[in-house]
Amino acid sequence: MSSTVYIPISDQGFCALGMRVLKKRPLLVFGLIILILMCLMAVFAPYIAPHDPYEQSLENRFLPPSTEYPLGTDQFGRCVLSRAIYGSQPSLIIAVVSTILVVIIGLLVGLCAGYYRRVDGLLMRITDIMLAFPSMVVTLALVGIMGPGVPSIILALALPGWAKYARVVRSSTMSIKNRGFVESARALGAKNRYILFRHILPNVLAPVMEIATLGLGSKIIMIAGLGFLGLGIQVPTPEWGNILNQGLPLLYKAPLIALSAGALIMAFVLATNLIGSEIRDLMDPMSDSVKI
Amino acid sequence: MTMSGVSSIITGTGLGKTYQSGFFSHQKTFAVQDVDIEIKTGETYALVGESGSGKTTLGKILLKLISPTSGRIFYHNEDITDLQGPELIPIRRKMQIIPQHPEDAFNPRWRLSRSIMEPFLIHGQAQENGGLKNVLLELLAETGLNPDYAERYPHQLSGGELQRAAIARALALKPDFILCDEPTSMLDVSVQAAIIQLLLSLQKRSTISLLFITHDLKLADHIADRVGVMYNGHIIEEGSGILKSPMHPYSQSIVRGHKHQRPDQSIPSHESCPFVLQCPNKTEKCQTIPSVTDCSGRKIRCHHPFKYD
Repeated sequence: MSSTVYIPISDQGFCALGMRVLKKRPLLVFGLIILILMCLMAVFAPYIAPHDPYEQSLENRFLPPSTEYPLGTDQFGRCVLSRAIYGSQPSLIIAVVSTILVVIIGLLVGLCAGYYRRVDGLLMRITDIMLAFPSMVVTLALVGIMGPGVPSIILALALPGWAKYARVVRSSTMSIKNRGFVESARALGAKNRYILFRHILPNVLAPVMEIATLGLGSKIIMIAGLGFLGLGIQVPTPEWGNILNQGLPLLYKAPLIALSAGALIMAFVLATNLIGSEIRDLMDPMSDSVKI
Repeated sequence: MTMSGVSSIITGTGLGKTYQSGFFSHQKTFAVQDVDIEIKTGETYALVGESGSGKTTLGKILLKLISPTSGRIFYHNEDITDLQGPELIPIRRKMQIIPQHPEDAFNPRWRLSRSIMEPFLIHGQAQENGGLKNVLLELLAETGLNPDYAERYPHQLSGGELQRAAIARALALKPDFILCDEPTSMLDVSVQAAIIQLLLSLQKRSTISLLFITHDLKLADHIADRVGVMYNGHIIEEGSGILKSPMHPYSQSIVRGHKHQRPDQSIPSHESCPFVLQCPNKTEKCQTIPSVTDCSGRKIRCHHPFKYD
């Protein structure tokens, strides 16, 4: 018996697929391009940055933009562009790692609470406690206890953040576990682990990914806020938050210091928000985007 | 556990299921009460009754998808009531379900080929002998589905096509018992007939026992060897030819198309007849629970069954 089958997405030409995605979802492509460029900027900072971000020169203080210093220099004569480029490294690492951590913790807690009724009460009370505290206060307290530094900031951002993911995952899990395909799988002899990871997890991922991409942007703002309060990455290490903090008093004298970091934060948040709003549609199997 | 010389495939004795709800009130719902049921090898047994009478709950208890509160379940005379986890897997392979809502029966993210072949995935046979493509095509052909549909997503198929796919999946592991939970209720009339014909022809070919849950008395009478009428969690009449000669007052009234008030399921009916409040023939005797009696080849739970000459 011969059969003509649909061509799987992976078998279609890459360029043709790219063009179709661009045509159908230009905002997603725009967001992805910004995000990829920023990631490349962070990874290849030593090759892109025109100067050493730590190199001080009191002779070159507050220089206006020039070919040697495209965005001018700061109060210590350091290259503003180089510091903004290097500043992406800690900002992106902290935002991405802390978001991955909160997603993993939120998924595990939410899946267990939604699927296993025995642990639901206990896990949700812990989640309620986490939700009851304002997350910024918890973050400030944790950074205050652990001290500033990349690992402590990651933990401080991840610990209060997982609770809302757990809530969303739990409610999605509870509705999916009563669907017919889960019951059919159970009737076929599927184990709980199989049902959780093959049926329920892929179906709860869409809302989680949407919140996570939006969360990436808010994490960058929180990191910048911590840097602004002096609890983030400590100077002289460049980081968008502390560059903004240093640039604000000099806004009239050397506006490009604050504007460089501010523009990069805005671009990153814009990119993640664009991707976040498109990703839900993209992950919906009923949407036409599956057939791109 | 044999009846008329034919061995039983699945038997339930004294089955009951009580749900408890409410944090403070502990309100109870008696979904299934003291049910004895026996389905024979190769038989089609239809369970009929109004919504909320406990048909689906009873079917799922027999399939071990719901744990009974009381009673025992036997599969080929082996007590499977307390089996859990890995002990239950060999039995799961032999008992399948065709669901009421075909559009809900498939993972929306999976192509149909993967969903139909899921039984092999679950039982770790997906990579064996490379002959699975042929098995898939055979199953599609057997259920009258176009092979092209294998690469489609569930939302790209109609209800009837999805129900055929659900039957293909149920047949994949060559079961000997299938619970058909109102498989045609969500389909239009022309598709209903095709699905019923498909089920009956499959049953003839492979001697599968079917437990067919339906609201449709005529359909039940047409396809089933025996019909069980459920009311308020009890099987109140069981046998063949119920549509032509109903003996229980409740069976008589549903054959005539009368509507009934939904019984209060929070009251256990182990003291009086479950139909006493709405029965036109009730007497003092009906304040006691009637036992199941054999009456003209029927099993009937009534003090005053109607007798045909």
